[in-house]
Amino acid sequence: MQRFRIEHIGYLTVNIGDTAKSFEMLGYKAGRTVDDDTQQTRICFLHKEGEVNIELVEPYESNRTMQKMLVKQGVSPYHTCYEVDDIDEAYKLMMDSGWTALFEPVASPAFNNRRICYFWKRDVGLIELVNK
Amino acid sequence: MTRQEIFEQLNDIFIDVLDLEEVELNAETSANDIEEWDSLSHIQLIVAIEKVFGIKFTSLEIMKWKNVGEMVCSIEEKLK
Repeated sequence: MQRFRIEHIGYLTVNIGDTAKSFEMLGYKAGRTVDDDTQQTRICFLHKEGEVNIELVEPYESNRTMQKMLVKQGVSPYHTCYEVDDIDEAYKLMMDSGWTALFEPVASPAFNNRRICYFWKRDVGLIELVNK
Repeated sequence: MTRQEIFEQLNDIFIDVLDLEEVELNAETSANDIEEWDSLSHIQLIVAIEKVFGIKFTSLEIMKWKNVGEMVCSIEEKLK
């Protein structure tokens, strides 16, 4: 039985430094910022003991889709990430359950090359899966 | 709605969602032909198409399209 454990909430941001600074007041500490050339984003995780992590995602200038999302919705949460034990099994389960995959699992530099994938469903929006 | 009218509506949707100055969609147009058409903007296109045409696609339909022509066929089927 596949278990889905919430890992983080992803925020789209114009500037990781500025947003991380604002989250400091809420008790979060920023980790290192990683460039993900595949996704064309810079990523930084914010941590707070006992709480769900926050992922700040700053799109490259060349990432026109996410830049447009920023223009339309501003800095805002846009996906929830769940950790799974077996991402290949979870991928199949999601596909069989009517979710639309944005792409098949790929290694993510922001997760020390753990594999991730994204899904969309009309009633939920975007979610990310990350392999344990 | 005729196939031509569906293409014209789709053209407007692509320009709006992908923020293009202009586009001339045809049945063979695919994501390889439009730089702004990536996996995330594909979802944004789906949301806009469903809203404009008042239809809903299944995930299987969304993922099997290889080009705009197949997308138009799905829309035609839904509008029957």
